Amino acid sequence: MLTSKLEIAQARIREHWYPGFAWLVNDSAPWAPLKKPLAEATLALLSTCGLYRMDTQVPFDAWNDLGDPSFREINVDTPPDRLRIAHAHYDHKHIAQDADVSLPITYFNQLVHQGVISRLYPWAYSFMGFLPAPHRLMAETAPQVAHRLAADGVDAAFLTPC
Amino acid sequence: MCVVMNREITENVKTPRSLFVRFSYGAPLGPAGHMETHQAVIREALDVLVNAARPGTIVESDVEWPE
Repeated sequence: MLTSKLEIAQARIREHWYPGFAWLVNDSAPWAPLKKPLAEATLALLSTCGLYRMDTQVPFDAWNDLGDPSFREINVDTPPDRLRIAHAHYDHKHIAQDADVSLPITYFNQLVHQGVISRLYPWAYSFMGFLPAPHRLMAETAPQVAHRLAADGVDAAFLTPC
Repeated sequence: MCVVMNREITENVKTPRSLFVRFSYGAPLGPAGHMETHQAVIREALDVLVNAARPGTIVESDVEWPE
């Protein structure tokens, strides 16, 4: 059930960016139980804040009215000064200064060192969260990432949005 | 496990486990350089990951934007 606030936002997005836009409304939530203690688990980081490697990757198509359903694979050892943001729909001031606001690699490495989690998956997955037309993300790119993580023994994903 | 900033969207999408923070887009874990805030949000999120008992759980964060 959409609130009036979401209905107003939906009308605005239809008017300015994509006439076919509709908020996603699901009947139920998916569920995958955590099958082991956190201290034995491998966690992966995901973000929709539009981060990419400026030296080896092309930016997201940030100004496309339909969004960009692709993803970038970023090694967790990437120096933060190699990261840039391609996302035209939020204020970059915090993440541009401190990528840990979006991909908290520093703290998750500490959690591994402290034994709180077993392992940080070596690849973080970056998406661009402005996506009025999410069909290809839902049908192709998000399942592709989910299958990679599951096949590689990742037990849980930690996602930050933008 | 998702950190979310818009509760209404989350209630409609129905993510499996979510921590709702009252921060703005562009700062999902708090301000730049404020690692104590980031850590506090992440600890709460990991608690939700471990303890959520049913699909669609949304827990409101106790962490406030630092002055």
